[in-house]
Amino acid sequence: MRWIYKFPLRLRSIFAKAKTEADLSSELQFHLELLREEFMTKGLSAEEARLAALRELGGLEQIKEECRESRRVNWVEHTVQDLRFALRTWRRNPGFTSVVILTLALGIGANTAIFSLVNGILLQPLSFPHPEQLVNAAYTGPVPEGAFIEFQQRLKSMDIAAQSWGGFNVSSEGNAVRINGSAVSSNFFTLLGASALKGRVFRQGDELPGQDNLVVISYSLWQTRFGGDPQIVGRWMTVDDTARQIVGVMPRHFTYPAPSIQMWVPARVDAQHMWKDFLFWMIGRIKPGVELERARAEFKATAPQVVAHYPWQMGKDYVTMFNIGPLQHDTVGVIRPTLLLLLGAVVLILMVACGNVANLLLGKSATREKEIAVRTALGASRRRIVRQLLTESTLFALAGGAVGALFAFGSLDVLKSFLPAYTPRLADLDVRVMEFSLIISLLTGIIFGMAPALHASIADVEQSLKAGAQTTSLNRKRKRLSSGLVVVEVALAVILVSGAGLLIKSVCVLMQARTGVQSDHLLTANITPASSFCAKNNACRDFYAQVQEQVRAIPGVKEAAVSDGIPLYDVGRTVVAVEGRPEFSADNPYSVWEFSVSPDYLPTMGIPVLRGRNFENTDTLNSAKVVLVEKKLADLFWPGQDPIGKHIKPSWMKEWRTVVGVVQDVRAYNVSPDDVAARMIGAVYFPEAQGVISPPGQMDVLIRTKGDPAAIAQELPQAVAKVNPAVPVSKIRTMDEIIHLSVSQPRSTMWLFTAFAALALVLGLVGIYSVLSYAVAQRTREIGIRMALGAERWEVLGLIIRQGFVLTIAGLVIGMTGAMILTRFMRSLLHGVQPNDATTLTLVSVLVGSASMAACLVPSRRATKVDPTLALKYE
Amino acid sequence: MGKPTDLIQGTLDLLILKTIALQPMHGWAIAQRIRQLSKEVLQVNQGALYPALHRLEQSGWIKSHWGESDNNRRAKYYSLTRAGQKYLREQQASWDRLSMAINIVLENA
Repeated sequence: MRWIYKFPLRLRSIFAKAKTEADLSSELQFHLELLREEFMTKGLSAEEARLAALRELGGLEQIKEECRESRRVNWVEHTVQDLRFALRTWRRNPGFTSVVILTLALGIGANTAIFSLVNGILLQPLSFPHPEQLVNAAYTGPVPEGAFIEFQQRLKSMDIAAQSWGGFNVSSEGNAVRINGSAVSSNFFTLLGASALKGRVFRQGDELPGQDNLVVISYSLWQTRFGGDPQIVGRWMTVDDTARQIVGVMPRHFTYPAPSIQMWVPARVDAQHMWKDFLFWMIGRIKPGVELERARAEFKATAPQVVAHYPWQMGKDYVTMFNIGPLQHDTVGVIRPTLLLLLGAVVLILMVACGNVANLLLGKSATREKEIAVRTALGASRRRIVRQLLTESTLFALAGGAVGALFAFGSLDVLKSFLPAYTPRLADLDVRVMEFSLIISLLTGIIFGMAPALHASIADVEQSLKAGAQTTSLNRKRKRLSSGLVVVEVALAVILVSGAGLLIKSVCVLMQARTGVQSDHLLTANITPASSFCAKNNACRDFYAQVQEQVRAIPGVKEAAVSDGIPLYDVGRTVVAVEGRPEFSADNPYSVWEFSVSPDYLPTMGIPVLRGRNFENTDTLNSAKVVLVEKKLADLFWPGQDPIGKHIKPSWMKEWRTVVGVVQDVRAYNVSPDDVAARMIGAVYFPEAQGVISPPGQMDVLIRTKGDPAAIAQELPQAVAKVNPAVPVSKIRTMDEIIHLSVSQPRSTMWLFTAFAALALVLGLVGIYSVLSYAVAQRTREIGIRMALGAERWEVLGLIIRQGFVLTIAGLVIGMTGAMILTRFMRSLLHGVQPNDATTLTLVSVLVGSASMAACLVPSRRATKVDPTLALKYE
Repeated sequence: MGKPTDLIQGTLDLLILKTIALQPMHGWAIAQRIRQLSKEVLQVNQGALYPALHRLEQSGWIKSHWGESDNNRRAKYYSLTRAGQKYLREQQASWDRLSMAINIVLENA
């Protein structure tokens, strides 16, 4: 019932503030009057009585303030007051304010940008309905179409769809371009739950021969190739010499299975294609109500039944590799370590930034001691003062957050360009990120505002008001706190710089590693006749023979060859069995890199033949089957023996092939973090005519040029057009570019991380500088005394430098320890470099150490310029 | 005046509530009354009186109105609310219990 009385009071306090104040004054005045009268009756004069009354009542202002305190709407009033006060203080100290806001902006901005990336890529679930039901079923790699169909028919607990990677020649008006696309099962889109932006997606029945001349295109293809034509549905496209009708356009954000895929066609289902190649990557959706484990058990149990239908013999481990797992994890698994590393980096940077700001505020709070003392005398409670200081620091944080968010917007595009092109779901800033920034800002404000606020509020009123006050114990505590903060900052900077140093060294190692190929003056291109063209066996072979002739005829070309893969870019793999080595048998085959090459390949690439012979034109489809092996492989399979004449074969084939030569090792693969690749050693070369995947479809042409490869690059498409104008020539690059590309991902990570490390270092140095500057200001009097007593300037310099030195050393020690512990987590991103690489860590210590000593110099010099006479008067 | 005995905040509240239970009074009168009744033993710290009054009012135990004092000056009078009366009874009961307990200890310990 009390609220009947309380409520009107509250309202009055808010809306009739002036009246309330006036009432309070008159109430107290009334009391004073009566007190005064009492004193006068006791015999004091009017004036004495008045003074006595005032003394008896106590501090009027304090009483008023206490009364106000009890009116609990104060917090609104106070907050407004605090905000106005904070803004006034800011205007008076523009330099200080901008440094603080800028520091915070950098820390929070970097955080926001990285978090928006992490959020979009890692944290947000796949943008399909019920993403938790989606699973990846391709742990064995791609399977034959027949296997997919068998699974589809047998599995009860989940639905299965499949997609294959490929490229298609899309032509109009005679010229053809190569576009990445995917052949998918007819339930592919419906399983994912994706609908078309225009038109429709595939449905059951679209895979039947005669009805499958359909295509669904991506949003970007619609815009770029068809100009966003609103009548796009129903138009026709020529794909690989087949006319296909466009039935749908996917929305902009649909980039499954990869952003480079621009079109989807129904996968043809007929007996001819069922058990031909391993092309189909399976995905699944678990039926509602079924648990992952049950679905997995069924899948694994079904696998042997399906594999029994394979027309080839598979390794005995093959069946056990079948498995399913959550789809989300696998699409982002590759990029996850990098993103997590960057996330760690920004967290550290934010800590450094907060430390800096806390230090700056601490320093400032010292100069505000007097102000706070006066306010306490006037009746401010400790809680009030703390609240005012916290409001100020939160305001700083929010301002820093706002600037930081702007900065994040701007830098997001830059950051995105550092990530590899295949990164899925690259997002823009969204609302959640802004929320995140806001929360971080507020937390930052509270965290770094706390220490100075609590500190300042316990200022001893009496001491501070006295002239020349230097409350010793308070100063010592403050000094310890700010020194502690600086040491932590230096340590964090050391950790980040160490990480950057390791990444830099790793990239250098990668770039210097010998590829085994003479990469200068080497041009490459991808030639992709339509698969229908190659359906006639010899057509493709003749085609490539003619292409090589034409290319060799271009002036400036020394040698030319074709291959089905380029080292460091898109190399094929196969599994082999070795005769006489039961551990590498058809049951237990060995994974190797595979190259199907023309005879000129080795000389064009500059790879020497170490033993035996190279391929010749006489090695054709019908002659004896031969192979070349790399030295590494020869040493592995036939140690101490002559490899020439030994037998080896792709494990599922029947016919043995004879080794006729040994070639020098080449670094075949690129640095993608692929478990299987890491275990593979060595390559096997097949003559193009006897290729493992025959007939040859898409091949790469390699050209050794006499002069600048760029000139030849111009001529190349025309040379190919002379043989067949409908065949596109794409990906024309020099070998140097490919090598450069192969390290692009580690290099990008390196640059990003280095940027962060540099930022942390700069912030740390600013921290040291500010702490020492403040220390010099605090000790001005002491320095003045010392100099007056005869200390030399260099002695004073040494004094300050010693302080900086101690801080630096402490920071280095802690930082190094932290670095040695934390860099372990970077292991997956380092190539050929140990996380505790001694050289790198030593260099980092030297770098950070000398930088911080340099930062000490300016304040130290300032100390030496102190004028003793002025200093002694300083208070 | 002798050295005033500082009163704990809760006790001051109790004394105020009791004093105005009989009739509405203004601040000065309350302080005088307490002094009177306690035979000069309890000198209310005048600086603590008004904050206490305002606090009690904000909590809804007492209510105020402006009126005319004896010598025709404007003064703020305080009186108990219904909730305040109940509160006073409760507080008085617990105070009695407390002081009785202390007495027992002092006599027998």
